[in-house]
Amino acid sequence: MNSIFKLFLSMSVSGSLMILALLFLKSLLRNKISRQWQYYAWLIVIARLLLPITPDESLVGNLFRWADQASSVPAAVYDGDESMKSTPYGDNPMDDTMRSLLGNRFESGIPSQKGTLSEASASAQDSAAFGYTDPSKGENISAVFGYLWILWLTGALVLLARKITAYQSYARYIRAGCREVADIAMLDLLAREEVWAGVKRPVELYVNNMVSSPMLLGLFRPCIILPTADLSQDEFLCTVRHELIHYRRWDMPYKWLVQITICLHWFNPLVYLMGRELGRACELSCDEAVIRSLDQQGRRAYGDTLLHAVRPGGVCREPFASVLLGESATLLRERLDAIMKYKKMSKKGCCAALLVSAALAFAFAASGAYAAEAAVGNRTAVPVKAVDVPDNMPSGTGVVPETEMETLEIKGITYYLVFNEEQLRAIGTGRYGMDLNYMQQADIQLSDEEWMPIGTMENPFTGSYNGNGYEIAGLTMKNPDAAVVGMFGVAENAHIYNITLRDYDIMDAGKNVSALAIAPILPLALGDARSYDNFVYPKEAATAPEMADSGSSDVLADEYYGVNLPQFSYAFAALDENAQGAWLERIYNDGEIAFFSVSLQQLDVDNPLTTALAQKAYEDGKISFFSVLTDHMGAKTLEAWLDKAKQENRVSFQSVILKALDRDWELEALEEELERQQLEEYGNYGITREGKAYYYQGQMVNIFLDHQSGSAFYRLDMNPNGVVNIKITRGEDGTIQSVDYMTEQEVEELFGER
Amino acid sequence: MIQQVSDSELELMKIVWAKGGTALYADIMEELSKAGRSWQKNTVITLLSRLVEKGLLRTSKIGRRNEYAAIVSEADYQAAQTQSFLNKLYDGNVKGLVATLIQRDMFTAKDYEELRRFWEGGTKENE
Repeated sequence: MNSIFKLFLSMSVSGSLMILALLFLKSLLRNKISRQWQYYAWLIVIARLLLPITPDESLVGNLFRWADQASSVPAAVYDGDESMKSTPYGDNPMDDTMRSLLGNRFESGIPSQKGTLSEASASAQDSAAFGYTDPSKGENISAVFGYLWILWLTGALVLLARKITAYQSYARYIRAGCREVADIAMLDLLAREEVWAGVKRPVELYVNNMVSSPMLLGLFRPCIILPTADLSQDEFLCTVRHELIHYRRWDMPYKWLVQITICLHWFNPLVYLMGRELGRACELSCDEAVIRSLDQQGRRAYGDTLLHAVRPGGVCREPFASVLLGESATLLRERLDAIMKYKKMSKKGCCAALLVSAALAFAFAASGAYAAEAAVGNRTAVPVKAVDVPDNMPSGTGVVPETEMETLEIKGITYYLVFNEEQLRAIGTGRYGMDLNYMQQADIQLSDEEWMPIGTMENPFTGSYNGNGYEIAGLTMKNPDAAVVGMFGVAENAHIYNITLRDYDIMDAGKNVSALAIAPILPLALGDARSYDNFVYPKEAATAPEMADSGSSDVLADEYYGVNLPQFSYAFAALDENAQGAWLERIYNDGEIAFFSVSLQQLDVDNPLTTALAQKAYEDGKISFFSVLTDHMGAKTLEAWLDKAKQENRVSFQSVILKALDRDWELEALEEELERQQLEEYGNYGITREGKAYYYQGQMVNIFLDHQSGSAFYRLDMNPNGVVNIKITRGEDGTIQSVDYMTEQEVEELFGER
Repeated sequence: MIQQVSDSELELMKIVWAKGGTALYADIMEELSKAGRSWQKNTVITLLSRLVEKGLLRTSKIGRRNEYAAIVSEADYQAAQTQSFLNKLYDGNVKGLVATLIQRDMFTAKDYEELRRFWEGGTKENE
């Protein structure tokens, strides 16, 4: 129970910080930020006061934890036992902090200084470790500490009960003296206002001459109570409009929420201040909402209504939970002042409101609460987040057993690096599991010791092995009883690639086995296991390499085309030149620029295939493909192309080549030239540009779309001030064919794509 | 005891009675507009809920529509109102009321004859 009290205490502290912050901000921005914002900003503070949500690290949370720990140092004097003992508070190392922290509370008069100290010590009660006690002092005081929460809870409940009963009897009393307004004209006016205010359920209208000013009463079915029905139409309108806005904005439940907050934090004087501020903000923001709908004359009438609303000698003193039209003289003056000065919130004001809201939200999180521990009554100290340091991973080149593998992180995947025979043989043993990713980092010469295939039926290899182009030489298997023969044995959903297996000798293995599975790399693949791009050269065999694992790369390339870029690029790399040429042609024709790009990366600079394709792309005007190809051209080739493009005045090709040549200043000049040419071209079709705005036939353009189908060239310009939407159609050769107004459907498609 | 209702509330009651004791909200609005009343929707709802509060109407939902049923019949209401009127103005003395009616020609000989027959018929049945 004490932990909940402690939680509330911490929330009270962080809530107080926020109350002070908000009051400060408000004094700075009083007239710049809308009243409505000033009203609802308090909700964040109330949330802070009521909700034990907190991030791991927060100001108050840390403070309380610190207090916990400080109190548990032997110099501190608290005992973990329920009978806590204490030296006089002056000796308390926490005292200064807590006193300054809770300083306001000292003046509140409700809890005494002892009370404050005891709150601090209460927070110490749950701490993990406890110091020794000094039994000789202060036993009487400290005996009370453990039961402090009872005081808190009792106070809160009594206050709440009092508020509720006071409200109930008041409401009953007022309702008893109420007469329904039977005047249909008034009811009709009210009904119209209800429609205006968006109030769904009709609000009952009463007259009771015992109330001093118009009010909204009732939490669930509020009614408007007027002190008199003898009102001018203007007055009546202003009055009900004001009260209806209270109703629509759920001001009654808001007020109750505030009251509950105040009851729970009754020991904190700042919450009373908050309550008062909220009351004012409520009225001011309601006024604001009313006058927003009124013209200058209406505002004057509204001000008059406020003044007349306070009838001299009102009989009943209203409790908090009725929403009054008129209140104390000072508030009234402020309200009238606000009405006269009312102006719509400026853009600056909006920004300020947003900024301050964000700041408050941040403060909400930052101030936090001592919730994490307190809420669950957890007795452990601040958890130290253990950094997972794999102790088995050597980090450098120090003397390590040769089987120890280093690791490498690539894009969040950990690769275990294989440098030598011991490491290769270690795969699948100990901590080097069958499900890890291995990458070979050196050529490995194996001894002629019998090779044990990686992965068995019981425990298949499920990770990945990247031979990385390195060789494994001298793999030897002689066991005549081995049923599965190969570098790997059984693999499931694994990827085994880029292995070059040289001088392996497995021909004699498994001679006694009838159902023999034998293959240099992977004899048995289960599930989606893949073995590719592997080259095998048997011992004393022909020097011409043969593609490993019958599944040819062409088939694989086909499988991955359009689906999996990296896998496709591997398969592509393993193809011979003719096949690669065919593939590039196919990709080019399909317009799959991404696949085109990864495929080219497998080729050398100035590869004849590249040259042929560049010629084709240049002739076809496919600037995007040409642009990819420039990355695989040497400087000389590029310069030759540049000359050609210059001669033929193919400006866009020039710019791509210049980019590839890194000749930036030439590029800039060219782009200016390009821009000029383009504007000239636009000009021929009735499009002009002034500053950043385009005009078509003299009309400002809203959506400007210039797009050559099948090319990467694209110009989209949006101007919210524009009135027409135009679309420029370009032909195969890139020249403008036509300029059209876009249809509704085209505009929709355009935005649908975005 | 039947509570006092305002004139506009009575007007609504009369519509419900005329509809045979039950009426949908829409019926009531229709009748009102026939009678030349352009009351606001919310005004009518407020009045109807006051009648419910006073125990003259009962409301029930039929689908999404509100149906209002009279708890008190027109005759009962008239009787109760007459009684209270009689008590207020004539101290419960019926003769005084009738005298006023006759003296001011509000009660004709023809009315009297009809009433006499009604009265005798009523007493015979009671025997």
